[in-house]
Amino acid sequence: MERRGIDYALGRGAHETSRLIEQSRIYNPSTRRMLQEAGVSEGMRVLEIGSGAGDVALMLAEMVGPEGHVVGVDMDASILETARARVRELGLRNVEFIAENALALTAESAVFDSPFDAVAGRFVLMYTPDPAETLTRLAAHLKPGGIAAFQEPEYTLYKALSSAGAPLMRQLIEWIVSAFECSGARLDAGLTLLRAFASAGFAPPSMRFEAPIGAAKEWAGYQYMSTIFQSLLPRLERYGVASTREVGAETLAERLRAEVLSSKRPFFLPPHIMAHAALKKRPA
Amino acid sequence: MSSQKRDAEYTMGRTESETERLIQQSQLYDDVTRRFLFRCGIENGMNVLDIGSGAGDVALALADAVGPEGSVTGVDVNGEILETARQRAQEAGHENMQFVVGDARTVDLPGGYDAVVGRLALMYMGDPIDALRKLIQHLGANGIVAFQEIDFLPYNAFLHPDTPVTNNLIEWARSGFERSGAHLEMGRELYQTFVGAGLPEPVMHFEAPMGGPADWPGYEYIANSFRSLSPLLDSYGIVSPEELDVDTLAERLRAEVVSSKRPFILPPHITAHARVDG
Repeated sequence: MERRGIDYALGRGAHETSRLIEQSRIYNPSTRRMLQEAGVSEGMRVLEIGSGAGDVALMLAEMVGPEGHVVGVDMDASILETARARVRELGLRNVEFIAENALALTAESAVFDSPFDAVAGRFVLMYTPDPAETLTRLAAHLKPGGIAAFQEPEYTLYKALSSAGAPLMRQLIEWIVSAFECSGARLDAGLTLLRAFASAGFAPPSMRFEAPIGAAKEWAGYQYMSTIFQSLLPRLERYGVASTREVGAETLAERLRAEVLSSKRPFFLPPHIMAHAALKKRPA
Repeated sequence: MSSQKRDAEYTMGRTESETERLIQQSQLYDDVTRRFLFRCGIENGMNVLDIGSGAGDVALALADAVGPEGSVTGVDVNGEILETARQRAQEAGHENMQFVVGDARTVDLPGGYDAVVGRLALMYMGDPIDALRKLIQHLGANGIVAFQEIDFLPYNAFLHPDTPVTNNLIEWARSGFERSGAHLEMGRELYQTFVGAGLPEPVMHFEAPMGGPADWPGYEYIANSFRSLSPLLDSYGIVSPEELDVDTLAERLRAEVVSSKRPFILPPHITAHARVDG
């Protein structure tokens, strides 16, 4: 398959690793509910793609229990060191990580001695050039009737979420969307899940559209937004979207909080769409 | 603070198909509501007040949450639809539910409730801050306030060249609700409404049911919504019943979603909840 280059706009390194962990505090409740509704349960073998710092894999490990097994895959070998360290810290024996492009996984890989009950991912198909193709390849590692559950951002609807009288919110959303657009990531990764599930042989998925929002003085979202911008900053500059000075990352959380408190409208973190379904039949 | 602002005309009308629509609505939104009630701390044994009960769906969810030791009182200005609510409460075997006809802001109630809850209720009230201030008079000490209201704004970006049926529906609904005086951004106004009514800052969440399968119940629900809206849309001169063609609407919408493979997002809701100090 021909691969269009997609840049991971959030960069790599210690800062991005801590952003991912912060992100999971905000998005984990939705992810957990999606996985539960999808039917992930004790004793299952689950393949997780785009593991990053391992947050979704750790959640899955808890859900499948000691009788189950989780294989996490990520292209970035260095961030998997963090994921592995967290697994060791928790004393888990049912999770392993492999540094690999999820598209290149073959049934011959050592960990694929038996097919999986489920494949899952969060904010990952957005970085693959063709989510339908990716899902089709992943489906080949599933048992008949196996489950897929994905949570992907929907940036095409993000701009419309900014409230009137909140210029900073509007500006931040425009910068984020431009950065992902320039990077080649899919802006409609959420909405496209319907098409992707269908073409990979899954039953029509159950779907939900959600966004973490808040307006309270002590809400964690302002700080998280500034963390996103610290990760995005090098790409924002390189793409010519915004300069370090314009973004003003070190005062961003405070300015955002002040705008929300004066506009009295909630701030929206990136919205996401969740979809889950089971395979209709054994893939050919 | 003016309390002279007039309430919105109840855009959805009052008919049998409207009752059916309210029940379909609950099939699509109940899981959002039930999770919301859990998050905001509604629990066994509580006595709760449901504002704008309609066909009784939120009240039924509340009855499950408070159990036989608790009680649910539902209020609605429409006495006719409360008959449906009463009947459904009876069918579900709940003996701890009662429904009161009246304006929840002024109706005489015993008070001291553990929670005041409403779904798509404040959006029809002329002055939501003033309304909420009156509604929380019914609360007892440390009472919970929980509202789930519409946020129509995201639809601005949902229009798409492949979905002309959907695009028209969005425009017609927006025009109709705006003209009626309903608050289409009530969800995102919940923060200022809570704080303005003297409540603590609410915890908020944004969510929308969506779907794309051929057998999804959302198409029927949307068609029934427009069946209820149709007389008003016609009287406002927004769209005629002929152009709306509500009898074929569910099928046309289904066909459009299936062929465009663009899932349909139902009106997003924003939830907000807080607990009164003292």
